[in-house]
Amino acid sequence: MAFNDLSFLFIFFPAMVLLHALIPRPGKNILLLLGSLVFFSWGTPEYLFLLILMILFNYVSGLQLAAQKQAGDTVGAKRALIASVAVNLLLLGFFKYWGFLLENLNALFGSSFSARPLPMPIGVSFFTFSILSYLYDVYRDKAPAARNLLQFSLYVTFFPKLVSGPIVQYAAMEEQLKTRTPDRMLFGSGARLFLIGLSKKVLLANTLGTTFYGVTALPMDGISVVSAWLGAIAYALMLYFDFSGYSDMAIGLAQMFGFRFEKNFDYPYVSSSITEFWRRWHISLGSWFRDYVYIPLGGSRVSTGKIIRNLLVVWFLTGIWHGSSWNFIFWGLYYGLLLILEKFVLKNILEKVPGAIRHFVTLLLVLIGWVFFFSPSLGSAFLWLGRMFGIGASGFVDSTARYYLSSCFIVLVISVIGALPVCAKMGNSLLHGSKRSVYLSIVWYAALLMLCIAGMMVSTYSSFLYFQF
Amino acid sequence: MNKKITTLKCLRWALVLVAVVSLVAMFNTNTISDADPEAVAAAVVEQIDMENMLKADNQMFKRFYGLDPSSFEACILYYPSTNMMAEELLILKLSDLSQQEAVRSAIEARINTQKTTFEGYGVEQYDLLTNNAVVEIRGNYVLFVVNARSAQAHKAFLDAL
Repeated sequence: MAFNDLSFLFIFFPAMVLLHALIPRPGKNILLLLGSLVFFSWGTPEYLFLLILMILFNYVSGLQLAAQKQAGDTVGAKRALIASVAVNLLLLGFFKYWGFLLENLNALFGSSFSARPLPMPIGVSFFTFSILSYLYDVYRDKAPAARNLLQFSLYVTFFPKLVSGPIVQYAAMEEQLKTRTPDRMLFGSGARLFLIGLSKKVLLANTLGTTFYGVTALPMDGISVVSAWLGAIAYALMLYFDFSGYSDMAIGLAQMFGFRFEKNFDYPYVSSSITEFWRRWHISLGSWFRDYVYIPLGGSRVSTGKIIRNLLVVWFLTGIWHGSSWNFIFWGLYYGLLLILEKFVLKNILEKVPGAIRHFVTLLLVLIGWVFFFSPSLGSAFLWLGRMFGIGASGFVDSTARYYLSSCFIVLVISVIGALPVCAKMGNSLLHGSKRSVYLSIVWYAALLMLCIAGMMVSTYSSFLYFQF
Repeated sequence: MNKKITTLKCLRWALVLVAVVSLVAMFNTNTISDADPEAVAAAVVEQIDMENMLKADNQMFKRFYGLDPSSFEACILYYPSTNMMAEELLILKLSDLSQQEAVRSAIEARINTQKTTFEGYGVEQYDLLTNNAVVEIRGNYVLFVVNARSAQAHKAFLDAL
């Protein structure tokens, strides 16, 4: 079940909201947990038992860590942490990297191990990272071990963040699991955010997807320079509206149930450097790697050589977290190298370059990065990049490029404007302006809802891109 | 305190053991087929009347299901020659089992779209979609068939894997 399924929008979600409003406070967490387990089981019911086992394992691990620390057994606590982290990572690795590992072993040693992969439990990359943050927070005394199994289970499985995040760290959610006050303003703001996210997905990402999938279905020999650029730009915008739309919906849903999560995107395409881009794109994943990998490795308070090592480790892991393919590893290391260049080589030069040029270069580098992200293999990524710069292209512009450009021009313009903060500023000023502007705002959101429902009824199902991670 | 820690340690490893056993069980029951997709399709097609069916291209598949055909190892779709009919046959060989969920949702959405289309005026077609639509996701293979002989097609599909 996804947030853009009609069954979610018209059955699951209204039922949860209604029941959540009706039942007394002690039952709210039970309801949310049961709802989350139903949400999880919808797609892969065979993993419900395994999920429950993992929750119990990590709950007990947290208690053990706390008990060992209390008894002064720091060595034992460290061992318990390492063992617990290893169990979680082995499980993630088994589902996500088993086939990739065998494939590479076969290529390296000429062996013929056959991969018999299992379907991946939904959200496994995201809830594993949530669990790891919990274990480390307990070990470092950043948060107490969860004594209440219900609250811990809800932290792991809470359905708005279960499938594609945001990855909420335990310390940030712990207090809210115990006490949160229902707030009509928060509910309203959550509903608005949910609607904005749904519109991003249904009206923009899906429409851009038509262009992107159309262009990438063309034979590689028949792609012109303009088509190749159009494909890359359509993908960049589609991915942004797809994933930031999902995040808005998740954060909005959480708000409707009384939880406050930090934003996951902050207009990344306005960035003037790669460093800034990654402060604005998938913020919860960046924060996770900073807090649980980069800083424990020494962060920036070590020698230059070690900082470079730490950055490469973080970006290698970021790459492979996105998928078991050399594309993603390359993509991660590409960003690692760009960040190292920015930090150590180009810092002084970049400060003197005009902002518009820095912005242009950043966008160009990000677009190149997305080519590795969307291409099925490293080889095809380089071929696509070649087409973008005229190598092997069928010409600069052809009739196919003209057709796709003219058919998506309006949505491209709207998307570019939508990717800037100006729309949110306008929306906020309408909502907090005069009575008339508030009414206008209500009409606007009602129209968006109608358009989204119409879009979902007439078009085919479109999965969220980040579900595959 | 030591007794509590020992109990927690034992409980932890017992849970890991149960998880490993359940994973091994799932691993052994999961069916991955190396069958040739064209051979599977041929076996299924043999069971149903294909006179009014056309083979779809990638664009048609995208339009019907909203999925990227290049992300699958094989994608074979037949659709009726006229839009007054609801017969359909889709055989997919997945590249990755994580695609199962997206494919299942896409097929459900397709069925709902077709039901909405035929509801009210295409009684026979609506009935076909309600009673003779088979969705089978078996490991890395997917079958979706809407046909009066869908049960036979289903059996042929399973036999061919």
